Amino acid sequence: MQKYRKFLYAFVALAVFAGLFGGCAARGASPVQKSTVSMGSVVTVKVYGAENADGELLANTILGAIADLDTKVISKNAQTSELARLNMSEHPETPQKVSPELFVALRETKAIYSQSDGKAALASGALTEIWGMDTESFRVPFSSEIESAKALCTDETVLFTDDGCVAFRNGQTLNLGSVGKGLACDKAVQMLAETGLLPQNGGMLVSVGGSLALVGSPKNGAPFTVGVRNPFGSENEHFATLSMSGGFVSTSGSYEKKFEKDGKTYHHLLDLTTGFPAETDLCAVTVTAKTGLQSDALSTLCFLLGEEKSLPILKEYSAEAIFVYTDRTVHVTGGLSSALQMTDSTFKAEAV
Amino acid sequence: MTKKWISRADVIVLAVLLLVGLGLWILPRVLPQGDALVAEVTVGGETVLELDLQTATARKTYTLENGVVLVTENHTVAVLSADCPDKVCVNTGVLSRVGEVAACVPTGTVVTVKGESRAILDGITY
Repeated sequence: MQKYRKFLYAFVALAVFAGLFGGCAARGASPVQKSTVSMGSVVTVKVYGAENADGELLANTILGAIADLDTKVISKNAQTSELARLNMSEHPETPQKVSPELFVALRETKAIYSQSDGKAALASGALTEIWGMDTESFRVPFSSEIESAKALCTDETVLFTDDGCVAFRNGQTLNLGSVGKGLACDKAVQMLAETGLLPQNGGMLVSVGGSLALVGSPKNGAPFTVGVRNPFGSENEHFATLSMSGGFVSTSGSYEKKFEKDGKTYHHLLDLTTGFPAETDLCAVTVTAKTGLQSDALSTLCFLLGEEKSLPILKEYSAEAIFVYTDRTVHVTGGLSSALQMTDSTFKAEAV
Repeated sequence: MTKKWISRADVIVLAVLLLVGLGLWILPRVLPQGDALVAEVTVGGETVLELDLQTATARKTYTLENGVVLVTENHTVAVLSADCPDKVCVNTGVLSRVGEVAACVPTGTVVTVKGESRAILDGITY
C-alpha cells in the first residue's frame, strides 16, 4: 500500500497548493486608480494588470490629455479653447478653419442631434447660457429671454465645408457640453492606443463624470462590472449592474445638475423646442455605443425624445439603452437584456 | 492491519494538511478588509491627506485648507461640509468600499477609498 500512500499525499498536497495559488490569483492585484477634477466633473482612470509605475504613467498621461482636450479644444467657458474662440469670432458667417479634432466632434454632434425633432442641437449655447447651465449658477430666465434664445438654437444655420471649415449665424453659440464627457472617453482610448501602454491581458476603465470608456479586461478576460446609478439614491448607489467587455456607456439623468426655485425643481436637460427642462416620465437613460461621443449624445437624445422615437435611432448606431421611469419601471433594449443584472428589487425590468 | 488502505497516522497527516490548506484559503476571504483600507484625499491632483479607515472607529473630523471638512467613523469616510454651492460631495454620502469616490468639483478635492480587496463594481455610470 506504500505506493498508494505516496500518491495520496502528493495528490492532497497538490490540491492544497493549487487551492492556495488559485486563491491568490482570484484575489488579484487592485487596479492603479487616479482621479482628478476636470471638465467640471470627476475624472477617474483605472488601469488593471499593470505594474504600479506603468499604470501611474498611463493614468497621468490620460488625465493630462483629457484636461488638455477641455481647456484647449472643446470647453465653452475656458476662453483659451478653440471652441470658445470660434464662438467669439466677429464674423462667424464666414467659414473658419478649425482643427480636425474639433471639426469631427462638431459635425458628428450636429448629425446625431439632427434626429431630435429640434429638441437638441449643437448650437444650444444661447439657451444653456441664460439658464446658467454652463457656469452652474442656475436661474429661471424670463420668457422674453427664452423666446429670443430659442430662435438662435437651431443647427439649420450651422454649416460645414469639405475642407474642414465651420460657419454659423451671428449670435449663435456652439456647445459641446452634452457630449464633452463622451469626447473625453474617446480621447482616453485614442491616447491608450498611441502610448501602447495597455498591459498585456489587462484593462483600462476611464470615467469622466459617469461616462465610461472600457478597454480590455479587469481580470483574466472577464468583463467589467458597471453599476447603473439609482436615480432616486445617492451618487454611489446603483440599481443594476451591466456586464461589459469593452465599449462606451453614458447616462443622462434629471437628477444631475438640478436646482429648485419657488418649489419647482429644474433639471439640466433642456428641450430646445420649449426652452425649458424636458417634461418626461423618464428619470434616466443609459446608452452603450461604439464611441463615447455617440453614447453621450444618444443618452441625451433618448432622454429628450422618449423611448418610442429613440429606438430606431439607437438601431441606426448599433447602440443599446436602458430607460428608467419615475415609477421605477426599467425598459431594456434586446442587446443589453442578458448583460443587465438587477440588484435592487424595488425596480422592475422589462425587455423592449 | 496490513490490509488497511490507510493507517491512523495517514489520516492525521492528511487532516492536518487539509486543515492548514483550508485555513490559508479561508482566512483572506473572511477577512477581506483585513488589508489596508485607506481614504486618499487629493486637491488639484496632489495627495494632501491619507486617512486609515481600518483603524477609524470613533467619529473624527478633518478640515482641509480649502474649507472641505471630512469625517471618518466606523471604517467609513464622508464629506461633512464644503464651501461650494452644489453640495454634490456632501450628497454623495458615506464611502466604505474600495474604489468609491466623492469629489468637490469647485475646490478640486477628490476622496478615493483604496485597498487591496476587489471592488464589487469596476465603475458606475451616472
